[in-house]
Amino acid sequence: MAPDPMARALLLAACLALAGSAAAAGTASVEVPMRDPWVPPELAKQARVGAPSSGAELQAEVDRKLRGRFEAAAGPQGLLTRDAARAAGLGFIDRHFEAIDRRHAGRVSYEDYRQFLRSRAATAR
Amino acid sequence: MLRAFLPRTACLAAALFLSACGGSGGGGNGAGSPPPQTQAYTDPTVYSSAATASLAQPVDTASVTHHTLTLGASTLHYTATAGHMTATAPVSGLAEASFFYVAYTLDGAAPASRPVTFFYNGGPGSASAWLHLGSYGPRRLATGMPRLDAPAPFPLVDNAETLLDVSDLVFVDAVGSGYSEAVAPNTNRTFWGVDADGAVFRDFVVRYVAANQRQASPRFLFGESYGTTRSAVLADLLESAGVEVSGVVLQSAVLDYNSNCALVARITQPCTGYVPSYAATAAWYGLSQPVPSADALPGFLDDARALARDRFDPAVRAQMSSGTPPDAALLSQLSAFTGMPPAKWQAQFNMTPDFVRMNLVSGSTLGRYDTRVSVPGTAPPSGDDDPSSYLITPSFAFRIGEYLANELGYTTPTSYTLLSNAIQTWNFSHDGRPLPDTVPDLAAAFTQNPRLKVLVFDGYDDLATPFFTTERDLARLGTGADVQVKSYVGGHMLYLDDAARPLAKADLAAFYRRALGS
Repeated sequence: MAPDPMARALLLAACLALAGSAAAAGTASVEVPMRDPWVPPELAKQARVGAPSSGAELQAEVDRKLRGRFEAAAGPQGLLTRDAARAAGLGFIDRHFEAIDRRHAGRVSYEDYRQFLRSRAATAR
Repeated sequence: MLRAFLPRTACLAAALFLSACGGSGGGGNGAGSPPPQTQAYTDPTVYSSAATASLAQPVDTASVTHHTLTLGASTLHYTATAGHMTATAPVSGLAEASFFYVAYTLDGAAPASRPVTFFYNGGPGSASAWLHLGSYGPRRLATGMPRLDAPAPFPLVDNAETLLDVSDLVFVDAVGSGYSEAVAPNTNRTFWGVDADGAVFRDFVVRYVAANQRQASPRFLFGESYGTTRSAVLADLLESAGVEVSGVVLQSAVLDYNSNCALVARITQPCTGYVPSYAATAAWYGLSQPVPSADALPGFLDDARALARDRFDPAVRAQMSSGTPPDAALLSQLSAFTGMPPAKWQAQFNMTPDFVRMNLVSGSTLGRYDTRVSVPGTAPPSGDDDPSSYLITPSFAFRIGEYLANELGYTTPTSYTLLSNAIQTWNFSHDGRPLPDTVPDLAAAFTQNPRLKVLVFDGYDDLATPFFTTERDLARLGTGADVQVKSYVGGHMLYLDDAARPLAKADLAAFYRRALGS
């Protein structure tokens, strides 16, 4: 007769509890059941209503994300130096700064950055 | 280990006696005396998974052990490093969290041509032990899924499908899980949110790469479930930080929490993305009409996708918006594909996965992670009541600490937190939404790195992150993004399946070759 899996799981759990009471090391703790993915019920009510973004709308979301980071690091003029990029943790812009700074101005605008990303995407294809 | 050994032996004897299921010792690698470089580490630190906990000082210590794995004609010599590495904030350099990780590195490989892959599970709040001991590490637990007669606790065996022949592997635990903990003045809860978690994982990867001189190594991310949400956020953050990512593997993806009808108040969302998974489950139990052969299954599921997209989706929307009942022809088509009688479809037209799990097979409850697992009885529908999860959890909980101590030389007085309660207080908000949609993050990663490649692994029999929902989420990226989807007969953790794992490993190896241009 095949063992009842539930009974086996319970037996094993009991054994693990016994082992755990004797020595903490070697047994793992499970504070909640595995239910990934899951969200608390009150959050489930706050899900997006309507279609998700795609195409130009999705690209606009990407643009907002990249622009937000750029502008937070740039000065009030919206221009970013290599040092400022580095200080803000924008390693990508730091690494590609010379290519982004086509005018060799030592400062780049978000438009310069976007142009660079576009031309890079074009050459990758 | 004497204290732990005695009760374990007694338990295994009891298990043998009571349920006639065997236990097999997993301790020791049987490879003889360890090489001299081996350095065990007894970590005196006590770690806590509590929301308010933090370490007074960062921890940066690890054990080092050397191992050999024979795979057919070839032998892999590798080093395992198990311990902590502290992530520091990018600008201030202040310690954020000490991450527990286990790294497997192939001895004698040239770092520039040797990729490094970071693995993590999800939850959020789960440690990485599932992927670590279940998927592509050098050792794995033989679970026998979806069979239920494998000896438990599952034995630890050499893994013929390890990815170590292709890449170095780093299994890392999220803050507040495993033995990972925040460093004061932060607390674990500081990093319990989509954005803070992504950022601290970025800082761990940056630190790992710098500390191990892996700047020239191609980098890959391998996340599962919520770990795929994390991967999308993390890939964007790494690219932005100038740390290029070559490839991202999404195991059972949930990129957009808003599109999964079981995660949202269901009146707002059709369960369209689940219908083909219901069909796959019905096919497994021989309840669909027709019952497709293994070769015919992909075509059958293509037809199920078309039915879901072209007929079911508009009908559910019509019912939601104007109360229009579905027509009888559609109910009978749905019934043929899913094995659920037309009357059930009529009663709950926007059918949820829990309903299918409780009602498809009379007198049984099916697994959520793997519907091929069934147990007698029908408990009330609940995401907590998943036999395909609770039947394997005790073995992973039992083996992880034992493996770390006996094989990797890392011991600690703390018990490993396999699943923390972080999920209950997690800050899910991201980019202005209460529930995360990380498709824009993945799109941003592609914008910054057009050579990025993404591989998606799906199990047909997974009712947690259904494959058609994932396909629809990824379709938003358009044709410019290099995304490849591979689906197998199997569950959420399809790597546990002895038939699926070799297929997935071959696809994984091909993906790495392509991503590396070799």
